[in-house]
Amino acid sequence: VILTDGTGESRPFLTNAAGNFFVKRSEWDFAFPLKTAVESNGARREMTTVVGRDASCATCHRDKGDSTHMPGIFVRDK
Amino acid sequence: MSRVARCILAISVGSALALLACADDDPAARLDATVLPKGEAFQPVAEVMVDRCGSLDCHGSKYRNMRLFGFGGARLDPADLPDSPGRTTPAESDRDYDTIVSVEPEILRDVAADHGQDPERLTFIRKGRNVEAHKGGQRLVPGEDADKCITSWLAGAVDANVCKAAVAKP
Repeated sequence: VILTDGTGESRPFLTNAAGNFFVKRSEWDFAFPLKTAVESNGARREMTTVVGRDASCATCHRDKGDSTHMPGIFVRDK
Repeated sequence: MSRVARCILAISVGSALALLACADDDPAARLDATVLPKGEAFQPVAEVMVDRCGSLDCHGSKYRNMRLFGFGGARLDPADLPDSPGRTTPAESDRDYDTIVSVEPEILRDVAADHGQDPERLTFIRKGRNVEAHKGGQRLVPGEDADKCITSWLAGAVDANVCKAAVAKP
C-alpha cells in the first residue's frame, strides 16, 4: 500500500496475509489529505478520491460496500 | 369575578394574542435563499463540492452536519455505490444545493446580492479555505479552479469550464 500525504511525502507499507496494515503515529505523523494506491506484482490500482480526515481505511471500506461504503480493495478484480 | 377566574381569563387572552401573532404571516419577512443558479446550472458546482469536500470520511459521512451526496462519496440512492454511477446524479446535485444554501441562508442571500463579493462571510467558504478551523484542512485555494468554480456560482454565473477543470485534477 502506497500512501502519499498532504506534503507530498510517499511511503510504502506491506500488508499482512489478511490485507491489513498500520503505521504508528510516532513513525510517521502524516498530514491529510492522503492519496492511496495498492501495488502487487507490477499491477497498481489508485484510489480515485483522497482520504480527508480518517486514518482508518475500514471506516469507508467495508464488506461488499453500500451507498456509504466502498468494498474491500483488491489489486485485481476477483 | 374570583381571583382564579381572572387569572384563567388573563392566560386565555394572552394565549389568544400569541396565536394571533403566530398566524400573522408576513410574506415580506420570508427568506428565499435559493437565489443562486440551481438545477442543471449547479451540477458542475456540486461535482466540485463533492470532489473536494464529500469523501466518505468527510462530508460524505452521516456524522457531519453538512452532508453531501455524489460520485466518490455517499450516494442518495441506497442501491448505488460511492463509485457507481460514475457521476453525481441530478437528484444528488439538487440535494447538495439544498444542503449548501441552508447552512446560512441569510448570509448567502447577501453574498448573492453583492454578486459574490466577500465570500468569506460564508462559513463553508472559510472552512474550505481553512481560514476558520477545519478538521479537513484546506480544500479550497483562492485563485485555483475549485475555488473559482464555487465563487463563480456565488457571483450568479457558474463557470462550468473551470468547474470541470477542477474536478479533472487529482
